[in-house]
Amino acid sequence: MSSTLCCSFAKNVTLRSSDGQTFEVEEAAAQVSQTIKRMIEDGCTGSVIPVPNLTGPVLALVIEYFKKHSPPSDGCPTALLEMEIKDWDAKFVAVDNDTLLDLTLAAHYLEIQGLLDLTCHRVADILNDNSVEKIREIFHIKNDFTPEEEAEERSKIQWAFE
Amino acid sequence: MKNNIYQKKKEFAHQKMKMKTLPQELIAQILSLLPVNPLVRFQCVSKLWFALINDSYFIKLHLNRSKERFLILETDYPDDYSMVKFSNEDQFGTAVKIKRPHYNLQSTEIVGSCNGLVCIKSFDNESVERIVIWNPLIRKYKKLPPKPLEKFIARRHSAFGYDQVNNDYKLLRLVKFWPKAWLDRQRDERRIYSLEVYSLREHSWRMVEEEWPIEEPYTISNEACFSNGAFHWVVTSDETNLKKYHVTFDLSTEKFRVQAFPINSSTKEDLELVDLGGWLFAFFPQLCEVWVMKEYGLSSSWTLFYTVEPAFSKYPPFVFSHDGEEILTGEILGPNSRAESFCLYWYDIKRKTQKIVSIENVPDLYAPVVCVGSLILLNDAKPHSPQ
Repeated sequence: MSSTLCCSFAKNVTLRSSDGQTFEVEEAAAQVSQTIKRMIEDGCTGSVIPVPNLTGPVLALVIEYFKKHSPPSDGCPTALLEMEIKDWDAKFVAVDNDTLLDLTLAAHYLEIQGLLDLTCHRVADILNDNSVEKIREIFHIKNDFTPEEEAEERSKIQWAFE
Repeated sequence: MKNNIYQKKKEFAHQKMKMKTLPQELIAQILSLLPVNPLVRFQCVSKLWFALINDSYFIKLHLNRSKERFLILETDYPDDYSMVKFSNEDQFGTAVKIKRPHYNLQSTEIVGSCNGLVCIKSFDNESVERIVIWNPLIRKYKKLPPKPLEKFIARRHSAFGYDQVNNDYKLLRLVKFWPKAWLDRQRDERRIYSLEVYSLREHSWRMVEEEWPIEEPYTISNEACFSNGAFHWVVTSDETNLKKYHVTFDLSTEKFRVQAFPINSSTKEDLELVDLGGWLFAFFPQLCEVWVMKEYGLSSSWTLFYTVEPAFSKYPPFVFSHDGEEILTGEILGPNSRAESFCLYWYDIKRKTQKIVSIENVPDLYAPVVCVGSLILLNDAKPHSPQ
């Protein structure tokens, strides 16, 4: 009896972001994250699972990703479904740079390999198209070269800027 | 109250900063996906990025992921070499001229290429061998310490490759001497050899005490093929009915090994060994056949991989297309076997058709050398001197 119940109703878990927002999500979907999977296996399901590195809006996005990437209930994914997911993924990371970096970090903290590959490739594409100055801006990087040092480094590799 | 809001704001700002600062390992993961040219530029982003891009671990990570491919078009003096990139969709860019190190030395030739490095050998006026290991994409090279050649050299063979076990790049010089064996009336070829290895890691030459594995006089193929951590030569016996041996030299164990070839190797058919995507292939131009060693090191695993339409190119294949269905090859064209130009082709393995690859700005006659994009030597060698 209890085993029938277990199979017919999907179990949910509750995730709490750093700013206290809570989200309910299917356990199977949340296990796309290796970090959350381990916590569930360690018996955290009864209570709320804290996700202290993610703010509410970012966690909400990650949960969208969970839902799209949760293992299909009826066996193997079809080629059509895979293509649809690929399209969805491309749209999912077509966001502003700050959100993209947030998602990259979230994938890193929560160990979501698929999302990490996706975001890293997207960030790399953005880097590829941008200048040194623009990259400092996107990544909030302080230029710690003195003007003389930077001029010297640049002079060694002038050809790469042409 | 005001204080409280101020505090909150500060916390929020702090949190925002923290969120935006990717950990170093993640930055390395992302940067390792980029081609070489932007990475050279991004050394100027910050001191951390400079250190990261120059880090040996990062350079190796980047190499393992590198999808950037290009051809070096080797030409005779006084022409510059050219370089042409080809994309993941197998589209070729425009060929651009590149200055090679040792430009002033006339007889320059490419010994081999491996992991984005190209090894070049030339002679100066005193017939001293000058060798450099060069990374054309980052425009850096390293000069090898000169190693004077001894006298009475009959033949010598050089080969360049990577020793994965010791994470080292090595150049092998195999030198065969003339007189002693003749004077001694000694027919044992094993005794008239010297074997020297240059290690990039140690930046020095040393002798290797390893005997040449074949007793009878023989002729060795011009170029060694580097595949699976070893050099491979086709060695033809001068005595026993032109019997062919497959001689390998493992770069990590520094030992020779002799193996058998796919088909009846006592036939006179020529063959050439090539590495394609980590597999060892044997190309038989007269038979129009290409064989693959399915299980590396096991001579019984040689299998016919495809045949070439006899009317088509007799040039060895040198790289697979992205989908693995076509193979890049070429043909030397010219009247009365006088080489005048070189033409590249994609050969479709299944359909047995070929189509000409046209690249803008290519020299008429060249030999293509396939390279991958890598940062090796970035933290080691000196840049080209301005010419």
